[in-house]
Amino acid sequence: MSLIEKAKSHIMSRRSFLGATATLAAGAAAAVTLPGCGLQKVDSSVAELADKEGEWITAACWHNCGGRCLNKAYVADGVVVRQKTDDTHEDSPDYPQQRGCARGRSHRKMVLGADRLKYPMKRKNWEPGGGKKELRGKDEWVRISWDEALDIVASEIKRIKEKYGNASFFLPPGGSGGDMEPIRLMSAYGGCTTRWGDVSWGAWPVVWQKVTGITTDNGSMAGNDRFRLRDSKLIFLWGANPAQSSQGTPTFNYLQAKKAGAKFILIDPVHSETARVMADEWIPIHPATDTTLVLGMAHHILTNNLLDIDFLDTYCVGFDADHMPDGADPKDNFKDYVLGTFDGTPKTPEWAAKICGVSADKIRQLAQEYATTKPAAIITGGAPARINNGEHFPHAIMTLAFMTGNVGKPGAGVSPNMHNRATNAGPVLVQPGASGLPAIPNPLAKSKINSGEMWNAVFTGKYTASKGVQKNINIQMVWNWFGNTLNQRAGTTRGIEAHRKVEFVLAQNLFLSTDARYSDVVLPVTSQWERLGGLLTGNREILIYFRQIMKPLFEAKSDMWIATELAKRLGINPTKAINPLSEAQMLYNQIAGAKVMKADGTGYEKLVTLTAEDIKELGAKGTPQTGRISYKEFKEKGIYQIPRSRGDKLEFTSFEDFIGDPVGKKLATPSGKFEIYCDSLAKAIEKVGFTTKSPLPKYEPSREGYEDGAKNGYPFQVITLHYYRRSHSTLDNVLWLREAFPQELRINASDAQKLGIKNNDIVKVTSRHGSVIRQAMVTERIMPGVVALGEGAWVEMDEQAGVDKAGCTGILDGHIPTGQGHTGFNSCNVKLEKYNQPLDPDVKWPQRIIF
Amino acid sequence: MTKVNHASSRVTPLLELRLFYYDFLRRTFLMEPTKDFLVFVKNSMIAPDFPLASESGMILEGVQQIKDYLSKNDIQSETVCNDLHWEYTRLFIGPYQLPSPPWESTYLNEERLLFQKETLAVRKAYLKYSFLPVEFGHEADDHLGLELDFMFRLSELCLEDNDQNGVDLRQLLIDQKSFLEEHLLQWVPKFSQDMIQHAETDFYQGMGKILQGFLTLDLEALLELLTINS
Repeated sequence: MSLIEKAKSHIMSRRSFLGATATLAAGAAAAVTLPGCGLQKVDSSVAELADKEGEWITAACWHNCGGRCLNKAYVADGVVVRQKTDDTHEDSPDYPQQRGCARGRSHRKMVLGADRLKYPMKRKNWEPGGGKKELRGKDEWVRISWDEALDIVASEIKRIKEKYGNASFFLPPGGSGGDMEPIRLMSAYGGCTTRWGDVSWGAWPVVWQKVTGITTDNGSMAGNDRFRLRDSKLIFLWGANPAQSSQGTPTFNYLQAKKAGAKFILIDPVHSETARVMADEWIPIHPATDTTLVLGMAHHILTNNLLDIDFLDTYCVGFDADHMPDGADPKDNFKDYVLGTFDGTPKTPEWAAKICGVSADKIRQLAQEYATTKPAAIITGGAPARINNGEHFPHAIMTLAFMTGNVGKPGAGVSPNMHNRATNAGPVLVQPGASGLPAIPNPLAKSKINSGEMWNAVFTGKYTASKGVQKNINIQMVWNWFGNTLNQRAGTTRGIEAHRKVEFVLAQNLFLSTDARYSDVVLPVTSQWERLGGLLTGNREILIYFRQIMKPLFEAKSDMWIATELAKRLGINPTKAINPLSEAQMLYNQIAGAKVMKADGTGYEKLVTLTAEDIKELGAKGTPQTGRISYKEFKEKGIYQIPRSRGDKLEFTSFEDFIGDPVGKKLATPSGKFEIYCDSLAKAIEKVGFTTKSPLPKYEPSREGYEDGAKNGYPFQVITLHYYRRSHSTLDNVLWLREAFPQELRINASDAQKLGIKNNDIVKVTSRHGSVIRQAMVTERIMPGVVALGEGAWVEMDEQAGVDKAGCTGILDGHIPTGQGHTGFNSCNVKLEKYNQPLDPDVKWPQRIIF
Repeated sequence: MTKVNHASSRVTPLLELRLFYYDFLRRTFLMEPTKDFLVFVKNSMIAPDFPLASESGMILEGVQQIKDYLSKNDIQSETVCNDLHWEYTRLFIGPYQLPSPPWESTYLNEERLLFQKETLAVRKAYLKYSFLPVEFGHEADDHLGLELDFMFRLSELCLEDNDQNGVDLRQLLIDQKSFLEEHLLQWVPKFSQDMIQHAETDFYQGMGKILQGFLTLDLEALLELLTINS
């Protein structure tokens, strides 16, 4: 019998069972209503949209996050439906995928956020010259047309120039990336005052360059490449937390070294995410005291005959009285400083333990292990040197490596190998060409104020130009874009006051970030997803080609368009001075000029083959060329990753050539050697004009370091973390990320108990410079006496209570210029108290939507 | 509910049974069991013979297991409801590794990912009839419950007045056959195996068997219906 017949007989018998009228189907459907989780009928327009074939396009993930990954957007009819990351090849330890993090994968939520700035706006009470300037940050906003906005900006610029001169324009953004369009414009208009001072690298750059003679690097590109790391038997990660600060491949690369047998010791006030993955041992330490631990270890090495004397004699100057550079006092040598021969203070492990909080026995054990395990590498992040007058730490830790000869051999090394170079030291293997955009020299190039003085200078009218040279300045306009200067430099409290003092404040941004919030006029700019495209570099093995994902949202315009339009109003020929090349031509130039290292390591060859059709498609002028890969492949994959394997000719260890030939390949220092006694360093720091440093590495407590707080009523030290939620301050507004990462204050359980603080209690943190409130995360994973807060939260002042509710670390950190002019975010003393007002979780805060 | 044109009246009983099955199965797999649902299942099992069960050993076994379960467990009791609710959660929702993830793409691509090309292919099939998941964009379109719901919707259309709504019965049958062959039967055999292996109750083991048994049988049914309607 067929199924049709079977069914018929079933229904017949069923009807006789249930009654003639009941059909099975109708009975079933009526039995239970189906809740709204199945399919629904949609109208044809919805159906059409959902049916559109989309395309995966490589999307910019352009932030200064310390990593660089492939980010792709699935775009259907201009709608970004979803994202993915690197699946262009199989993942393996030797040829890893460049996979994105929580932030990269939330990108859609940022670019398409409801809180994007959509139109130009002015502050309601704004008038030429200010207009209730004290309301900046609190005033209401009024939507205006682009014409009105540009007219206001141009007329204020003209007025301020006439009244106060070009030096009164202060354009503080800086750093890598971006074409610095407003500075181009102002340079063409007679010049402007800018900002200087390292933010990320701490005190490393000048020390690295003076001690090694290498001026093309700040140390972050130095060390071993990822294959040579696997030769290490022991790796100290000293204040380095790549799992958080360098997402992407670094932690994976370290894991390969661990699998190959390396032991990992992590020195950090916080038991970091990296410690969780990697640490065989975690050594908690008081912030800003690492130099004492180094000196205590040096003392043990010195007094227990663990020195590599040959190395010191051959490759270094300044270790002992017999190897001093010309003209130096022989008594001023490192060995006698450590032994306390002349100052009466031997830098014993016991001496160090009292300051750094690591026990003397542990210091001896670390020293013994380091000096007797070879090759061993010391890899630091910027954090331990990101302290006020912090130059001694880099100098001391390099010296420690010199004492044991752990330099210049595969698997050995000492360097701040960090940021997107972490775990992959060495020359760049693939890089973009130049865009060809000609530089415009700033006629006021010397009018540059240090990060640690800039906001004070608004009030004092003075800044330090160099040692003993104070110059007058009258800042009347602050212009912010690209960065989030007010939020991200130390001294935010002072910065807000400064923003309320000057006559005009202008911001270009995607959001009402802190910079924008305290402005008079805000101009909405496009994100990289709305621009033509570009190339991004990260670790040395990759080059990413991202393309336009969508049209500009609402009335957002590019920074270059804004500069161009303002130029017209200021009487400057924009195509001649500001914007001589089309966006397409600049993109083409970068692609055509891209180059890749040859497999034998002898030099570069062109990366991309470009046919006449390719050039036409790009909308540029150029000559066809032959390179390693086709333009089509580059465009479709969106990435080129150079093939690597163990033993290839691209492996790298810093100083291998110098160690192999100390005479022929001598260093570019005055002595030709590593300078433990480094007069050029001392002179360079002195010349800056803030503080001095001895030519030797010594321990000098940092301003607002460990000792300072204990005796002055600020018994805790706060350190600032690169936080999972953001790339510095970027992406802080994304709700997904706010929910996942709540911006907690980490506090040790014993401290919390003493203060009566429980998990999730709101705590007020007060430094000499400002107060923030945050919910506590009570944990054993932080050193007692230390609290930690992620940097980059967008200031949200409770003006009445005088506290920042967001927990912006810039509010806590002082506006303090020291050393080479870097910022000392990790030397800051605070006191803590339980706060009796509630604080909603950040994810529940209203978004900053003004139109 | 059904006004069937003359040509198809002979096949109506089979079309009705198919509608019953897809309704039964979509309710089983779309969401965690509710009390109403369990009553519905119990009622469906009361009749002396479960439709077409004699045509498939798998269905027969499955029905027997569910009947056993229902005879030993009182579906009015909270404990029983909670047990079944947890069983569904553990098998199809999480939080731990899912022993039988109920999405086509997790069976058909190597990395067991969601929202893959399989999902888009399924969406295309739905869109031919202007259907989309209620939670479009949030829920993957190729969830088993949704695929079964789709078969249910088309089975429903088969019973509607084909002259009036302009949908050709033959085309509906062809599209169901393609969907069954290109989608459900591509992955459900492996899925139901996983489900039967990992389910801890006779109830869900039985459901796995009915699912597998019926889909295989329905392909035969569709072939037969197409011969009649050619």
